[in-house]
Amino acid sequence: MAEPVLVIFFYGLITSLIFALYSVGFSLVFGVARVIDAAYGIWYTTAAYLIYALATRFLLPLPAVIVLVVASMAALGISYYSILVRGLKERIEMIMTTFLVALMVQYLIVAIFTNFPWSIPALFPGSTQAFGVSLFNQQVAAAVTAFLLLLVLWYIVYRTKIGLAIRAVAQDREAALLMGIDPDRVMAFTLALSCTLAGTAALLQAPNSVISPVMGWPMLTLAFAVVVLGGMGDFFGAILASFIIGYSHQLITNLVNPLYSMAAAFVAILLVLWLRPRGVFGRSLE
Amino acid sequence: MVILISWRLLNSVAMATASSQKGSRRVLYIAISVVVVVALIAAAVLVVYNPFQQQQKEIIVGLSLPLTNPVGIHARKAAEMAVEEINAAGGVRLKDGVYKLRLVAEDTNEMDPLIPVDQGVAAFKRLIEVHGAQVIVGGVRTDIVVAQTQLLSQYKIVYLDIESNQGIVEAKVKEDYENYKYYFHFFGGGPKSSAGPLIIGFLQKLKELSAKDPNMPDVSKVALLAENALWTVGLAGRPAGNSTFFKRLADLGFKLVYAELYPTTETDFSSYLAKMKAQCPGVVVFLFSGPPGIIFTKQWQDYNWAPCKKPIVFGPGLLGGFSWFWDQTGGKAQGTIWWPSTVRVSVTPKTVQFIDKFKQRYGETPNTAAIDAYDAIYVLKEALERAGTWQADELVKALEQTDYVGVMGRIKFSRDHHGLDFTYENIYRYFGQWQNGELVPVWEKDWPEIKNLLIPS
Repeated sequence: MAEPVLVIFFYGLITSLIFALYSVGFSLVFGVARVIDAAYGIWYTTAAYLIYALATRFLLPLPAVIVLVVASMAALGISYYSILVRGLKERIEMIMTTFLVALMVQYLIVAIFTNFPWSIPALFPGSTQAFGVSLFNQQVAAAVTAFLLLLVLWYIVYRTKIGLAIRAVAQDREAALLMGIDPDRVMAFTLALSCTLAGTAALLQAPNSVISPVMGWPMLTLAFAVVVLGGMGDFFGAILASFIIGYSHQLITNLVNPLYSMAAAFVAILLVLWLRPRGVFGRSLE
Repeated sequence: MVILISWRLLNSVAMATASSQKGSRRVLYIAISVVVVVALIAAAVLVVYNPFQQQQKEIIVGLSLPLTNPVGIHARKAAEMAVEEINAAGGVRLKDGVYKLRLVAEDTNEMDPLIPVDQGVAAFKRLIEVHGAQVIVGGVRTDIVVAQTQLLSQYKIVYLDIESNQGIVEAKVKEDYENYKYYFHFFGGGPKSSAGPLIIGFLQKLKELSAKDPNMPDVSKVALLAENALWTVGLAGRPAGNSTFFKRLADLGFKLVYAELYPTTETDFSSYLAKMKAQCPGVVVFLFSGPPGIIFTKQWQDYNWAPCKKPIVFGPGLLGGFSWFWDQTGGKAQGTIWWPSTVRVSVTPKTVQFIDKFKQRYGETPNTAAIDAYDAIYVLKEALERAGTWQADELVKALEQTDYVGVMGRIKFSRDHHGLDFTYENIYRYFGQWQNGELVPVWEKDWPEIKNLLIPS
């Protein structure tokens, strides 16, 4: 039989990597475009329904589903920025507008798919034992993919020209403009990247779960918690915060009571906002 | 017409006022007098001829349901079937003539994991205030039904609750009759329709069977997993496991080795399964009514239980006995046992007939909400005819005389009892197990032993 510490270690690792992949997108948008995207959760939901429609209604093969979901989410991000986000100047205006967009899309999803709890079959069914802990193959695959994608993301942000442009715009938009960088294009790319990350998280998570029109809201709460804890727009801070929240979630679920596990995220937000408003690490995307 | 005449007169008045200040007062008096006379004549005509009377020869039945969820979808379809049949057979005969039934529906969204009580209450109010419903049929989530029933005496409207698994409101009918007498319950959970004794009976038989069969897990070790919703308070207890039901089980030699509540928004049961596995339970009593039940079932089936034997999953899971549950779990429901189950058994002559008719028309086996809604509409029809009116106070008295054999079984109400009674034959006395896409009856309250059981592997 597995020791609880091993259970917490493995499940915490899986949970944290998925949290990180999802939350980094939200963090990037804030860091670069200075937009608090209250619609971020609905992009996760949208991607999940897209996967469901492509995989179970149109019966497309897995590679086609992946390509179409990633491409659609990237296109959605660019359109979202060009049509809506670019024109938003005030922070309250951003929150209200993106929140209303989320509600509109949610109602659209209900209109098309109803509230029926649709289910997507696991891509990797079954489970495997590791040190006595039973791990679902789907979750292991999701965690490994999330880890690899985070590495790719790190490479894009810190080792490529577009990554340099992203960091430059995040640091000082006017100075970046003077250096010949088009902030609008960089922000559109960041929104595309962020929506793609939400879509990828849905690709990894949805087959392990059921989908519902409200599934994105807890994820948005989680992203808020990660960004507040890790610092607004801090790439490594977001990853570390994801691990802190992921492991707190598992610790509370396993050792205290699962009913309070999400409360950990809220307590973390309140404490950090009170003690260190710039986040635990106090940095931004640089 | 009245408005047109008034408008022309007022125009004349205005013109007269403009042309002559002197004669204006006289013209004004004449105009007002004419308007009053025309209005009185119009009112008299309306009273005598009443052009809306034809439309009023119908009784509006409000469906308070989660309309985009299988529970509500099936209930609505079954209610439509019943109403079509009743209207086609001539309608409902009241004291002042024959009435047709008309359905109106509002979405309570009550299967949302966050259980939005406010939406349920708003839908209930809209049915009465906007659609003019004279009777309400519906109700799924206990939390929402309890909130809605607090409005019954205010609106003086009969509420036929088809699916909430609770005895809270039935108890209130006894405690505070005048305020809650409008409530009638067509599902389990009441004082005479609790699933608890049935589950205990089934577990006892299962334990006897496991003692004889070495391939079965040790059923005397019980795990409890329940969603954190109001309807599970009685059976699961708070904290989980602290209930009369589990005390009774302990008296019968069962050992509760794991007990936990999960939030209705849960999306992953890995940790729960790991903790459960550490105790090697032989049976998991699983209380759920929302989408997480699908996730749990899929994960339970895929989980590596070695070195333990895979426990049997069974329990009151509102959705587990629904026909679509098999598809939603991708067949991972194989071997799970559920109460309630719409097993294809001739409980009454109407049972199989209805199941087949529904399946033929909609392509799906009706769920419990469909059976309850169908019976509720017929019980309502009979009560309306007995009362001769849809007025709530009279209708309550007529409903209390109900002794009706429907699709689910025998439904008998009285002044003291507004719910089902499982001492009479009823489909809810059966437990069904998923076996290759079919819900197979494995036990009924009066069966001496479990039959046709498939041991999950």
